[in-house]
Amino acid sequence: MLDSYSNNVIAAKAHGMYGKHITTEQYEELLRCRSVSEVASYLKTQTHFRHALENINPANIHRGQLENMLRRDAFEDYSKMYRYLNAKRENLFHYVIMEEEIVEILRMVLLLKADNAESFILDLPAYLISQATVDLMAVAKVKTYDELIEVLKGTDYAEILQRFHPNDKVPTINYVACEHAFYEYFFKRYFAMIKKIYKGKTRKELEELLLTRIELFNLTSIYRTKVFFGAKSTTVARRLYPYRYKLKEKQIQNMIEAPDKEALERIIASTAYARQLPFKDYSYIEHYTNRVSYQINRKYLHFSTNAAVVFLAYFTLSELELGNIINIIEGIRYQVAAEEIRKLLIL
Amino acid sequence: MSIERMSLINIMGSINSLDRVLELCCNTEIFHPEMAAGSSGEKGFRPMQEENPYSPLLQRLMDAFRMLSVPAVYSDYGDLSMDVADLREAVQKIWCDVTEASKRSEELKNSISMHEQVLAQVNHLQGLNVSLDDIVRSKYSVARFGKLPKDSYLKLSYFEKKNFFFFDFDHDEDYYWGVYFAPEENAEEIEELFASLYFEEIKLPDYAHGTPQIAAHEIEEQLDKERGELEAVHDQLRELGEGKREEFQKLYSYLKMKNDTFAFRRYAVTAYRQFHLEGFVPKNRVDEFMDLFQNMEDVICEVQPEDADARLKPPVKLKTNWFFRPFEMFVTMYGLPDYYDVNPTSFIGFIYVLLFGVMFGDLGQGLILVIGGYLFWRFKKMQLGAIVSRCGISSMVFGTVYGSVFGFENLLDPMFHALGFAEKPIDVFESQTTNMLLISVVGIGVIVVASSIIMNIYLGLRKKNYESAVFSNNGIAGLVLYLGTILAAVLMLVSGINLFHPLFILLVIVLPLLLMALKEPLARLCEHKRGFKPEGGVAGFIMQTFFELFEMVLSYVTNTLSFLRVGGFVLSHAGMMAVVMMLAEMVGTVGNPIVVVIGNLFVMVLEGLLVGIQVLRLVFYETFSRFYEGDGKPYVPAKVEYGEEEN
Repeated sequence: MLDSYSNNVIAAKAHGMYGKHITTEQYEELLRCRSVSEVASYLKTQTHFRHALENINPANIHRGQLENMLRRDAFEDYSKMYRYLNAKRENLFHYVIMEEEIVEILRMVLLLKADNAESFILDLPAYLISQATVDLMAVAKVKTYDELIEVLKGTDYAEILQRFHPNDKVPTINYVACEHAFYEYFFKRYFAMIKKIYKGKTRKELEELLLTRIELFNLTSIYRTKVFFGAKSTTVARRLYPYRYKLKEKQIQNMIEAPDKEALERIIASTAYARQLPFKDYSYIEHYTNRVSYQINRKYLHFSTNAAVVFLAYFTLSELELGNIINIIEGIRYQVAAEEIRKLLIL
Repeated sequence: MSIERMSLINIMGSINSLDRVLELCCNTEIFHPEMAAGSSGEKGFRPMQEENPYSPLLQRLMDAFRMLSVPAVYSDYGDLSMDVADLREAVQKIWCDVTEASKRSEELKNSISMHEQVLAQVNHLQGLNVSLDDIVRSKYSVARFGKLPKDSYLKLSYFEKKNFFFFDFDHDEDYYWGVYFAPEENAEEIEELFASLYFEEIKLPDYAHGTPQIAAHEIEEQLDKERGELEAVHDQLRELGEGKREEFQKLYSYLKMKNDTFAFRRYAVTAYRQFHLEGFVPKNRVDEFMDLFQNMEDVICEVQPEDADARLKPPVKLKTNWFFRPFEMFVTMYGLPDYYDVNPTSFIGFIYVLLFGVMFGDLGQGLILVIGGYLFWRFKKMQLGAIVSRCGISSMVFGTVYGSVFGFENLLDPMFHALGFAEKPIDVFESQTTNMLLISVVGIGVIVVASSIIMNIYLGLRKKNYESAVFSNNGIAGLVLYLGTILAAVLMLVSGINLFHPLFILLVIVLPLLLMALKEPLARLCEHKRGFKPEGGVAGFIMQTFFELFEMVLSYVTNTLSFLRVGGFVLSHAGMMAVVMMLAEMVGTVGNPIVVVIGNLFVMVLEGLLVGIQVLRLVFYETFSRFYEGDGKPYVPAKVEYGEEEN
């Protein structure tokens, strides 16, 4: 009974919170802003970020600081929703944290590769420091790849990093493979958790959402590696995550082996996703996959009655909203025309 | 029960006429603008993104008005015609008239604002017990006062080996206020580091001396002096304003009209010096609207059906008779109906007024509600006041039936005797009446629930949503099951006629339940769609359907019994008034009227509030949830909002 109430509370809370999200009209107003200060002022006075930004002075705020505050607010929203559930057992929120941890560790790997580890601390989200399962302040202090492994010793992350330790055969860190391994581990753990904790329709819907996410990830990966890097079929296949949902085995194979961009796009246009959202005239493949993701998650947010599913959908939609705002802020900062920024928005 | 029919209007023309077109649209107050087709950049159209040239002028005029104490209200500006340059000149002239005083006022304001900012900063430094002069004038080190974001503060420990100290004196949710020190030779590096941590420096003024406490005290003294002087300047300006009030208000009205109409340019798109505007106008006023553009040769205005642009959903303007119009507030609160739905206001209003009267039946108290509600509506413009006054009428009617006037249960007896009754029609304290009352309110509940289902059937059929209209628990299947079962139960209890024979059970109970269980596949069949595949497999579908049916049947019972509260409140109202009367008798002749008045007021406020909320709950939950979606878009015509700057 209590669970069912919590379910309703979370679902109602998520619907309520999503109702306050930025509308198309508000995006238009934001696009009319001419400076980061104007964006900050608009977000502070007219949007659901009102509370998060109440202490800022829009005239002085730095773009990076504004983005940090928006990210922190989104993270606090997720945390707030889970507080309603009083969920002590392993749950989806832990996976929000886990993904952010992985992003940070991978960022450090990249900085180590570029010999610039000391700048890691500047972009480290402070809200994550206390929530993370690893000591991120210790991660911030590492100077070498070995130190990074040492700091993460005892965690699964260290084992993954160890696999990509530079050696005689591979003298530098293979970042792409390392990133792939991290996410493969993440998705595996995620599915295992869903299987263990959830049952029935909730489990099915959560798996659908996660599979959709991975599949769209794979779709993007195929497109980018083939079109922009002209990678061989074997390389393209190696970068895919071993999950499948709406795409048929044959379709994936055909995409991997597509001789050119046009052929690849024809196959994408024949997939189940294209039936949902026609694939045409997209400047970036991510724009298409994110829009598909937006539509699917909106559907789940509105129609699912399971708190966990609603949470996951809300999380994805919030991240997309955050992406939109950051695109607007950066676009305005670098004086990109409003029409160009508008094309990047996921609505 | 209707929603105003709309027409889609497309206005195209030369860009030179756009302002005039917008003025006409705003003046008529019937044009609901929408983002015109092409606003996303297709077909060469661009949205208009100009800066409003009237805004700074209006702002300046408002500043002048504030200084002159002239209220910003509408005054007929007749055929006044001025362009931006003329307006700028006129505003500047007023500004110059008040310039001397305003200049001083501006100086004082700036000074006050600066002092206030500095004071706020110095107040954040109250934890520091060192003279500011000593810090600022250090020879071998630099000191920077300011605020550091909380997130960055947490990262300071990372830089512990760097050559600096940060002392925080105060903090709020997002920032730590303090000062950092660094040796002169490392100053540049540390400044860069703090900049990358988003440290916002606060420049301390030259006049902040001594410890922060002393400095704050001095600044406060200075502030008091300047505020006094500012007040004197304002008095002088107020006198100036009295003389030219009307002329100023005419200019304001014209400038405000220009400013607000210009703001509506954001709805227009433009290409090749042509503009395109799109919006909705109520159908019955289309001719009047079209006439506006007859004499404008370079403007084409065309009327289209409301669904001509698939992007746009027509806005909703409710059309309700005057008696139930105030109840639009409740409908709007829940969400406006879809444009293609019906307006439920009269239906809801009728149920609300009826149930309120039943629950709060008292002739005297009802009269107070009528008068009080009317006064609130008349003088405070409160919609709730209008609702209360209508509920009061119903309260008076039922109060007469119960024979209750301010809790005096027998005051109307002579009237009933004169009319030929032996006693008042309903005495709520009689046990037989109580039973009859409870049965009656359940009867009302059945009618309300059934009406809501019928409403849903009607709407579903109109939208060709057969799943909802025919097969759902709020469709024909649900209605047959609900009313059939109640009819059979009533006949069995009252007349002993048993309708529960196999054919009846099959047709009225089993068949509707079966239809409800299979509503999804049946609806697909009706829509000629094939291949229904239950999401959770057949077993999951059966399980889910079973529980859904169980919940539906249970909800019929609970929703109907929910109306028992109406009877409960009839009794509680009468009971509370009986207590008031008993207390009045106990206090003797002197205190009696006081207790009666206070008791009546207490019961009216408490019961009125409770009954009002309970009826709203019944309306929202037992009726709206059955047929109402509330996803309509409000009709907001373009108009000039005079006087809103004052708020």
